[in-house]
Amino acid sequence: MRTLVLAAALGISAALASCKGGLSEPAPPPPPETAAHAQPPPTVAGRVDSLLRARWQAGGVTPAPRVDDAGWLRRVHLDLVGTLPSPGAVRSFLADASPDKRARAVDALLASPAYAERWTTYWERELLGPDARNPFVDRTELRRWLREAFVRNAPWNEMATQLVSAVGTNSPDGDDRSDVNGAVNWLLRYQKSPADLAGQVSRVMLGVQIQCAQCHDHKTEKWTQEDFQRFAAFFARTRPEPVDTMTGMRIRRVSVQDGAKPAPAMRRDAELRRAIRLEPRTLDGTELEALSGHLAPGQAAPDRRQALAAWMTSRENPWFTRAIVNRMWSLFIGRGLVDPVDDLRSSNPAAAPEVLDALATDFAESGFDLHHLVRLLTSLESYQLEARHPAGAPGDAALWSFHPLEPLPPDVLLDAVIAAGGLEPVLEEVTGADLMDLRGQLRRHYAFVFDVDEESHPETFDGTVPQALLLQNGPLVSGASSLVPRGALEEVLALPDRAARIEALYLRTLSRSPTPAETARWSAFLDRPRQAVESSGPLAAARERKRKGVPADPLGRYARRVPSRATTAEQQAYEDLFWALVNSSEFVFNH
Amino acid sequence: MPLDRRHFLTLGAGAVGVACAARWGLGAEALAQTAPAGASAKACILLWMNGGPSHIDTWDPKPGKPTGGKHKAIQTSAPGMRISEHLPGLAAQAHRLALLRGVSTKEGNHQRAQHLVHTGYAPSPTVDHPSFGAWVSASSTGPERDLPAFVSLGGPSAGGGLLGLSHGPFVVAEPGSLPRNVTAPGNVDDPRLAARREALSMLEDDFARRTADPKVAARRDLYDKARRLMGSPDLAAFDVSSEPEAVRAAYGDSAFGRGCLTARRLVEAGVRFVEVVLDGWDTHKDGFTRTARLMGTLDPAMATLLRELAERQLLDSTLVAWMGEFGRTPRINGDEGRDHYPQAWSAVLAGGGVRGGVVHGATDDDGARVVSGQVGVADIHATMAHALGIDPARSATSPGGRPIAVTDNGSVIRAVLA
Repeated sequence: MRTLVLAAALGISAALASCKGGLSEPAPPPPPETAAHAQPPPTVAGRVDSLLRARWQAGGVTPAPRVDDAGWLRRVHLDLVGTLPSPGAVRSFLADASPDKRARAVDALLASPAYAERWTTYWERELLGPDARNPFVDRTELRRWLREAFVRNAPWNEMATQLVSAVGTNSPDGDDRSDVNGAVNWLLRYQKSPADLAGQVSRVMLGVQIQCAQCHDHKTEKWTQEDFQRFAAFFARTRPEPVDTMTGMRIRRVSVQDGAKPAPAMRRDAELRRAIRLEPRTLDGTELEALSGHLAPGQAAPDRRQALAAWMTSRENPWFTRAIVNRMWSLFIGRGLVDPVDDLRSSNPAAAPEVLDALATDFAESGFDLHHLVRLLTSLESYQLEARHPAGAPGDAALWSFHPLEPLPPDVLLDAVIAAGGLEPVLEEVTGADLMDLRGQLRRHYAFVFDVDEESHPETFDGTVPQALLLQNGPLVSGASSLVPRGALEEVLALPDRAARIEALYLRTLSRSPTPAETARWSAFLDRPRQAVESSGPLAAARERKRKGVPADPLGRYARRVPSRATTAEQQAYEDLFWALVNSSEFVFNH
Repeated sequence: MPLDRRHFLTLGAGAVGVACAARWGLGAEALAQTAPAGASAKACILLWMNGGPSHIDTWDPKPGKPTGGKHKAIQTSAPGMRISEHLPGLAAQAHRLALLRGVSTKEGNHQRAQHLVHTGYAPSPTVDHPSFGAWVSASSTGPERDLPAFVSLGGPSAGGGLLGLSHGPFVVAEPGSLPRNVTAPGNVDDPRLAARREALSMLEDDFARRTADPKVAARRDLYDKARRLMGSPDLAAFDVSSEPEAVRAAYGDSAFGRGCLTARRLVEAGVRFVEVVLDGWDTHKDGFTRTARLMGTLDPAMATLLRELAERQLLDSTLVAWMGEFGRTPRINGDEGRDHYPQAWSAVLAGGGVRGGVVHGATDDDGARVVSGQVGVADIHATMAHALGIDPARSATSPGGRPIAVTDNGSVIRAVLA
């Protein structure tokens, strides 16, 4: 009965809320496999669009105008694959006159390797957090696991099930990959704190912050400390067993299994010790025994985590589809339908519950198909709107009536700068075989300096001085905007005339052509009399010693070795324009 | 006040009886407060002993006991206070120190304990606690300065949490030299820099007009702040190379020594909270050799810092704190080391209205249990906040009225205040 109360509180339609009590018909079986890859039925996108239109109308809100093709292409590239569109891609998209070109662009991006890479990185950060060394966590293996899943567009319920019920070894033994399951690395992040594990599973997969009840009974919600402890009891027997006795390895190889006895970490935790003796119970009050119904035929005693995963991903679960749909909405459209995205509860209702319901139902019917969800979200009217802020402070009625400005996440910003500056061949030459390693270092460095939270949609911009300094004076942007051998500016300056050069710089950075007024202005800027700076000193300051905790700028060494070759005043003026473009808000925001 | 998701986070641990998921926002009015009477410190220098120093091998020696280890104890300038023989310079400054020998906490894992001691709260997945330095930054009054209010020399420290990114530490990787990226590349002279800024300004004008989004203006403000820092005469405070050789030598030729000297210079330039990191205290193996070496780095730096602050009439207005994330076991392990031990450890306060030559709290004969004057991190933070004129109960309030306070019900340790 608890399900019903909660479902009602969440504004969940009866069909979806059919619960153990069997008050309503069981949900229909998922449609046949082929449906998953068809275009989304126009009715869903159309319904969402009209729901939002009605909302704006009621609030007297005029939505922003439709974004132009170049703006839309940049947005969809950044959102879907985390990179800027290449100048060539912008040109051919603008030249394409077919009416379905936006949908086709989405399909092409979904099929590209960059899609899997972008979502691997997103989920790695979501599941493992920022770079904290943990000897039990093999990030590379979790990435491998995620990448494989995103490449084949694994259904989200399958991914969630495998993550929550994962058993196996965290890391390979040299080339020996037997028994390796990269998914266990998420669980291992919390191997010393099973309470956090239970809390994170609930938060990430269900969008429910059950962990709040760890310390005290919830006053306004249904959760009690016992609810939390009984939820945590699903993980009470999950333990890592050492695989080999070698010490001093970067990663300790362990095998994650559920034993017959409570895990030692659970026994050590004073607050959780009680949970050991408790029978697991899900958030809607289903006892472990009752979950056996979810198990595959022939499966013996209910394995605790498998039973939990089965309950979690079942069609009747009121949170599971909403949590992922809401999260993806916030990544593509703007503020979450429920905000924050990981706080689904009756006292924090969705701003547009009918939209959330429509999307959740559709997602479940698609077979939990993430490609389908992305196609749907990117086809919505809200996704086609310009980043034009309404006058004054936009109220709730104005939600999703314009595209918000969002700072690029650190790894996306990093890739965008590298792409704009054409730095990849340059870096490859300087670092030799270690480009992957250098990228890893850069990613850590940027993640350290740019601490951006992708699902948050603050109405104001919050940045730090070191971020501004890194972009203005740091070696990466210096290198990207300087005339260095094989870099972008060398290519740009090889173009025959000034207008073509300015356009090339715009396409590389802002992914659009300049307006005639802009071309004229920069032409005048380049024409200004100026003195060439003679000493083309190094691009970066002195060497830094390595220090624990603060990643060194990995490009410091490179920048000291590669001085700019801009010797004429005009070449230097081009560098200055390029620098300004890379530092501009139009470049560093997704808009 | 900028807000992002972390500043809207929900609240779990701690106070009982209010909705878990109250949303957090901060208004300027929420931060308004008055300094308690008697507060004298304007700035704080935190000497952060990363890894967790042994209390027995440093400030709470147990000579002759099985747990006592290899270091001897020596007399200090404070009658009755004895500390490790490897801290002779600090022994001579002991009349300025308040030793807290009864610190007791519950976190024995580095990361969790570092969070606890930096923020005053055990880590929670649902609240992003501000570090103590962020509270000091957020309570700074007066005109905005070119230099950041909170500097970490050696980093990474802990962030601004729900107070916002801008109150987090300005991390300087290399103490004693200029922060990263505060100068333009060598081939960009002043006229070029001006041309760049002008070009950028035109781009920002256009984009602000096109989007009408206030975020563009906020980002410009940030670039203005960066520009002011780049051109500030105060920037030189980060660079110790202009200090006389004798002064630099007195602090010691180490990153920590340069950090302490930088800290003094930054405080003189108006920075309110400076953290200086000395890493390496996680001495599971070969502990006595290693702690002796660490104290060889610590002693001249901290002693010279105290002496110079006093000579420059800055000690009364500068609170100096020494602590790590926990202590180390009284029991000596098979590798001549000691393991993590949060149950009983030591911290030190000096200056800023703190009484010198005081020992507050004690452990038993083995250094295993606190037998008197037990304090927790919240009490230490409350004492530091009090000294700095920040109400320890001050909080960032949610629209729903739910507070996260500077300290988790900490009590000011009156015994160490002048």
